Amino acid sequence: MSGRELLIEIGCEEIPADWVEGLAKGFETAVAEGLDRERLTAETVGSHGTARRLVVHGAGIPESQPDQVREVLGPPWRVARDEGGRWSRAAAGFARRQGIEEADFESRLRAVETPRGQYLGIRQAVPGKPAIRILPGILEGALRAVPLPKAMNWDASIGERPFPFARPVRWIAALFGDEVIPFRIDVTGGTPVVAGNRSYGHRARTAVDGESPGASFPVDSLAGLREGLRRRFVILDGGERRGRLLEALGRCETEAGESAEVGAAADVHKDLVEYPGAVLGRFPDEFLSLPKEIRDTVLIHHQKFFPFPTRPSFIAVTNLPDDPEGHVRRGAERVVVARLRDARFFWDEDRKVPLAETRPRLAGVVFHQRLGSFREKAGRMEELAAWTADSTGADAAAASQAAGVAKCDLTGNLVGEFASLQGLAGGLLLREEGLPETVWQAVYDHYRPAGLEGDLPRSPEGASVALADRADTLAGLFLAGEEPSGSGDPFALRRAALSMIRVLRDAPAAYPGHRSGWPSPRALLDRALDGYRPDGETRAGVAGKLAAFVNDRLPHAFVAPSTPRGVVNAVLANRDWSHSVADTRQRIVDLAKAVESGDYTTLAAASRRVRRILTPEIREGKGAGLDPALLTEAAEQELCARLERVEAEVLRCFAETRYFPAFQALATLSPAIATFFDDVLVMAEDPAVRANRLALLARLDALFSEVGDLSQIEASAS
Amino acid sequence: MTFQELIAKLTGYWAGQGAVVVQPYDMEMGAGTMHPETFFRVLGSAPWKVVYVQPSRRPADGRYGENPNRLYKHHQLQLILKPSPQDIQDLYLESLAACGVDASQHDLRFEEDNWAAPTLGAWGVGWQVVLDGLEISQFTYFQQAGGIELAPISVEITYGLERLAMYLQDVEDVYDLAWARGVDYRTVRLADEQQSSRYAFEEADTAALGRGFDEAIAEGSRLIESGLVIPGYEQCLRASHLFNLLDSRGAVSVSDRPRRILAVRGLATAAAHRHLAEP
Repeated sequence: MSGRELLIEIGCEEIPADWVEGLAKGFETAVAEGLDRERLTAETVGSHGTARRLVVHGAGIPESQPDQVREVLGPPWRVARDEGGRWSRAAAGFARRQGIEEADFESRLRAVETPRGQYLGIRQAVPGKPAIRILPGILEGALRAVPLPKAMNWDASIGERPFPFARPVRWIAALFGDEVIPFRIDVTGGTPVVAGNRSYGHRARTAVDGESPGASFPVDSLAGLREGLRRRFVILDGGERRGRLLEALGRCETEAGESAEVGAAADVHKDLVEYPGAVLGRFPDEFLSLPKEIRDTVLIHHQKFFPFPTRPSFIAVTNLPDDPEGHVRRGAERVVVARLRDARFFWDEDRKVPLAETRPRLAGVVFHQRLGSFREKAGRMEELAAWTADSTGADAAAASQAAGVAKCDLTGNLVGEFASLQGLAGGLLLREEGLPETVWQAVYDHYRPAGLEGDLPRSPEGASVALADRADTLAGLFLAGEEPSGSGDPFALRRAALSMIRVLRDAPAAYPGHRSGWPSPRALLDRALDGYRPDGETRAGVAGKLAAFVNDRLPHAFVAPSTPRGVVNAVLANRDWSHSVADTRQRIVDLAKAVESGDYTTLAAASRRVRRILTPEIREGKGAGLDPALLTEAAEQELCARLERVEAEVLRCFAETRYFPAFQALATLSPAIATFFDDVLVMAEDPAVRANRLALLARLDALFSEVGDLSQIEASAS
Repeated sequence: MTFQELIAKLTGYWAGQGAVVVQPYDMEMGAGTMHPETFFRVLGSAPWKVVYVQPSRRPADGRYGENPNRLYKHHQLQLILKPSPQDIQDLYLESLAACGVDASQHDLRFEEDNWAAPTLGAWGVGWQVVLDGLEISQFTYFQQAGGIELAPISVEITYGLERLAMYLQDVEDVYDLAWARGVDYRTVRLADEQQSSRYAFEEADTAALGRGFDEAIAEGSRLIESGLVIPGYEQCLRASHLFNLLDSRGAVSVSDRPRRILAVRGLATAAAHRHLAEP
């Protein structure tokens, strides 16, 4: 490999763990782009990130930019020579200024075509600059281009321009081959951070004889950095850190005799530490009587520890290879026991009174200043959940009972301490009281799904309570004039709407025993508005706003890689909040499938063309006056005949809610439509023929409109 | 190391680094950040180094002296360095070493934890410092205070003294801490915890607290307008504490909350702006 190695290490104070990968990758991309832009393209570019460093390295980077030949333009060609055919004064002056001797005029001066005409031109060689002089600019540009989730001001500047970053930069190693790249970050009132050839390892450990922990060490290459760091308890490669972490977890799991619940957290944890280790901690068996959800909240959310399914143990990830004295384990155990003790106190307190008996306390929890307390909300939710459950054949009594107490845990100790347990806490308390599963699960699940993502409630009764909660909140807060504006959505109503849409979209498939009867968003919100007994005028205004709000969110619930925006828009052209969300979804999925297999490009183009040709009055006629006898040309007769067959098929399939065959049938019209537009002049001179042809197109358009707006499809589907 | 030795050690360490040692502010407050030595000093460009202990009241955390980890009133050791020294993390680790924490034998982490105090119009970015799973300090680079963008940036380090002391003394119950040789935390503080919890949860007259809150806001606005920034800010502290008391009684409704927070924030912001305007 020719060329030199580039090595840049930006040493930082601890970068948030979940930023590390993105920052390293973004830094790498920006460096690579900078090298390309300056014609210093590397053979390879790569990056590494840890909590305390972002490293980019490049290989095979040229010593300097390649020389370039640049065309320098002089006066217009028409004035380059005088009447005698000799070089004019203007031309000669220009050439001399470019350093060309008169003897070379004939060989160097030439005509150049430009968009503005012919000009006198001279080709000049521009020697490339050495890379070491270009790299500081590339480095600055790349650092400024690193995508920061949140920038921090730290009184730093590069070249007098402020330089906010993820966290303060404490050292920079920047090498091009064995040369240090001249680069510095100035710090107001402090010492500049000047690029050098030294790095830093673990703050408190080193395996290098005679070196004190945290001391700097020299680096000469990526390989040297990697090895130097390894000897100082830092693993540079994220993949290797992950591997070590999993190994360390594995050792703890063997010791515990059970697999821990790690999941995707290992990916973030590997960037929380530079030298992953793990210790197994235990807590007294007595805490096993505490519901697992509560234990896990303590372990995962508060301590970032990994729980086990059944063992009274946990794993703590450490930034140390070992824990010979057991300090780390004992420390972690002490924290866990203290927090579990707290949690058990709250659990025991909350269990002293049956949840339903705490319902009066909801009077003291304000739902909204203008809408009263959660006590009233609970009443409305009972009614709404019962109605929804009843419509879909679920247990309305259970849904109503659950809805009535779903919010009671808000006044309890557990939720007061661990807000993320809302819903779960109530469900667990009801389970403890021995209530039927239909009831306690419905309470437990009623915050699900958080939006478009996440699990649905496990039962249709749970879904009914969730829908009641969302719909009541939307209806109420819109009545109170709290609809979101711009970026402000303090009551998370957008999320509430998406959650509602999501449940309605997926409920029929999720609860096979309750496929039908799920209300449309409109029906549900109408019912929810009833609960507030608004006067007619207020109600109409709010219903209008809710319609726009929900309709705006519908596309979000449908757009997916397999269902592109164009297809979604095509179907939503005649479907809105007043239709079944699940049915709309079915149409979209089926249309997307049909678009993939059939010729919808022709249909979309035809749809656009037909709409252009037809006046609104003719469109509204839907082809009522069509007289097949007046169709004279083969192409129009063919289209008419096919249209009648396909129309019957489409309408029959629609009636049976079998959309895919309907959309397939529609696509079979494409050849006849194409031939029609090729062969037939719609705007015939004879008014009767013309009117009849327009009627034929109107009928075609009417069939298209059954599906929606086909003209939307092409843009994104192809 | 006793509780008072820990305080002396940390205070002495930072005094050795050039920090001015000041005393706790003589008013109730929820955190050391609210002390004028932090709130006003982080504004403007004048360099400043200060360290102090601030007893911090969190009425909702009162547990009648029955919870081994939770207190109505705990102690924070608060440090402000402006501008932030570039080796601040090392200095901080040295301060722990001075208290006997051997970093090579413990897992010490800086975990992302951004801080925001809506009532002060303040926020910053930084970490919670976690020692073997126990959060012992809050480490924050102030970005804004009183609604004002800050430059230079101050670093604030807040040590949770009870937690750190429990760790160092290896005790499970805060009341078992040795405050001084032969004198435990129980002897010094238990009665205060019991009585303050009873006051906050049972006896406080919420109507009077609510009136007091409104009076403090009105008085504070008046004082700040007339240029008495510090007395005005003291009314902001008073209002903030009354709000916390009301909150611990469950007497702040969801809709009342934003109004009251905005009122306190309005005072803090006004005080900050006025402070910068006056030479």
